Amino acid sequence: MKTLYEAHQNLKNKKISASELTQETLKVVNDSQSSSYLTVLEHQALSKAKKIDQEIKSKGIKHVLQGIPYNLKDLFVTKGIRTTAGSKILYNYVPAYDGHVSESLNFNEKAILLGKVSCDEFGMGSSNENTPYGPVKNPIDPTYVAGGSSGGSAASVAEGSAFFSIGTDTGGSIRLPANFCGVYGFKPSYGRVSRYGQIAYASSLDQAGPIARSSLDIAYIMEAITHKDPRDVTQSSHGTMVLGDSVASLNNSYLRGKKIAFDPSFIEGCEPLVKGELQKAMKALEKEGVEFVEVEFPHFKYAIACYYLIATSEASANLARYDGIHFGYRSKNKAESLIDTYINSRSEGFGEEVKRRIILGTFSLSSGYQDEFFMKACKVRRLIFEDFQKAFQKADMIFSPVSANCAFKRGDKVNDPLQMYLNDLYTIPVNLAGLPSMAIPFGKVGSLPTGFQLIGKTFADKEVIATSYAFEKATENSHGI
Amino acid sequence: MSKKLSKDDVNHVAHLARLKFSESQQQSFVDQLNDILGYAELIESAQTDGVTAFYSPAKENMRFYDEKFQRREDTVVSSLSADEVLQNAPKSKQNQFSIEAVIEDE
Repeated sequence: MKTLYEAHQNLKNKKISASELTQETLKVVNDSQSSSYLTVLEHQALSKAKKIDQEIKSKGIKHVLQGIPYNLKDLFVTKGIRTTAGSKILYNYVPAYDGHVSESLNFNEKAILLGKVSCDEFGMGSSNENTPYGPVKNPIDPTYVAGGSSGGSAASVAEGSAFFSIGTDTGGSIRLPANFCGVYGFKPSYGRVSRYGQIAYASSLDQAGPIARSSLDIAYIMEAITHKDPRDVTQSSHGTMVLGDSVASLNNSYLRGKKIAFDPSFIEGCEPLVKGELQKAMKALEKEGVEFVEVEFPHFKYAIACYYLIATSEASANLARYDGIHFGYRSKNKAESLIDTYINSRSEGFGEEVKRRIILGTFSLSSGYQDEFFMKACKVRRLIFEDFQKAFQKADMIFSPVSANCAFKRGDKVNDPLQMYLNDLYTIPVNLAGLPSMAIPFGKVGSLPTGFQLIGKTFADKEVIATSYAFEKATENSHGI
Repeated sequence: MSKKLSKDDVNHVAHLARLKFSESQQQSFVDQLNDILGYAELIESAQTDGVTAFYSPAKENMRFYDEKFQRREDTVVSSLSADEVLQNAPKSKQNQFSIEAVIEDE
């Protein structure tokens, strides 16, 4: 399957037109069995492709992403295109504006938006089963989950119904589905990509990032979505943007002498066959001159508890805006008071998992419990952040599993929320500390993909992507399935 | 901590969050929440004396890189029109959001 960069080369060398590329990709969308797409913009995409072909003909190709078919997680607002956040409460919401991500890709880069893809409701889930629009199926085996919450993003990129997708990662929601579907998923440093027009789940953890079939593609996409946007005050202006061309021109000795830390207990904690693939990946890195350093993360055992108190607290505030009055779903049931309108609309509009998290968050912020739950969790968050800082004194990056297991069977964990939460053990600490991390597909267990993640220092996004690219080149790591 | 939530506790918090549950949903919800809270109590054992709370990486990044929140100039910029905003309202009337008539007791 071709990468975005290869498709770009073909467009540039006139081997294919944007219209043909769009038609081919739409055919995969229409034949897809993964239930990734919630909205397909066939007509709109084809007419845009036609326009871009004319532009390329008269002015030449200006951007790597120009004319490339892609999709967005349905958590990014898109002007005039229904945006559901995977929730019934936004079943009819058609935004009146474009967010930063769709604006950057559609207008600055002139990529071709094929549609909006499924996710767990408001990004809350690890399997893309928490949505009233139906579960996303893993394209490698439809009886397995695609992972979540950006399941539609990962599944569509793996099956070839888009060259790339933008997902969001609050506790692993880009990296986990990328890992389960065998594609690259990058969670940027917190503050790297503007969150303007990204429907909020937990604002101190949420970050948008790309899912694609190669590290080089990730570099070019990051370049396209990281420019400064004054509409998000938490976006940092520190550091240079990731540049696709500079990653593309890396020399073969890039990995030589790089120090990468790992905690042996993480590798031990994985299922035996996953562990075997992780060890192979480490060997391959060592062969390229990487030096591994053993470290410990003594506070990571608190990470899931810490995350679920902080994320749900923030969610309970963020989701208060869905009131049945301003936009989205309003209950038809008779309301005796204004509060009844709120209660009925929210109770009918939100799914189970969202309600569970709102209540947990409201509880941990409520009078009498705030200190022991929310405040305590914020202190523990600092300890986790400091664990990372200590590891970074010894190494440039951290090697870690993304998940202890491959994709699990659909339906296996839906009735046990706590088991579902525990799946995010290795991804959550990264969000708590706001660090960049790339999920890299490597190896298989049976037919199912597995892989690892490389975690970098704050704003070392480029270094993480470059390392991933160097590894990909050295191992001739296949992209997609 | 070891706080066990009762049905009444959950209903109270649910009301604060403007949510409600059917009788049949309530018990499984209470059980699941107690499961999760039981797990969350793990953080109680973390030693946090003298540790400053960490609220957002944005704040830490700014401190680390010595950046400041940049306030934008207080200038008038165009925003969405009332028509554009109201096109998503479940009900609107005379350029305003509209709700069902309710008469509440004091």
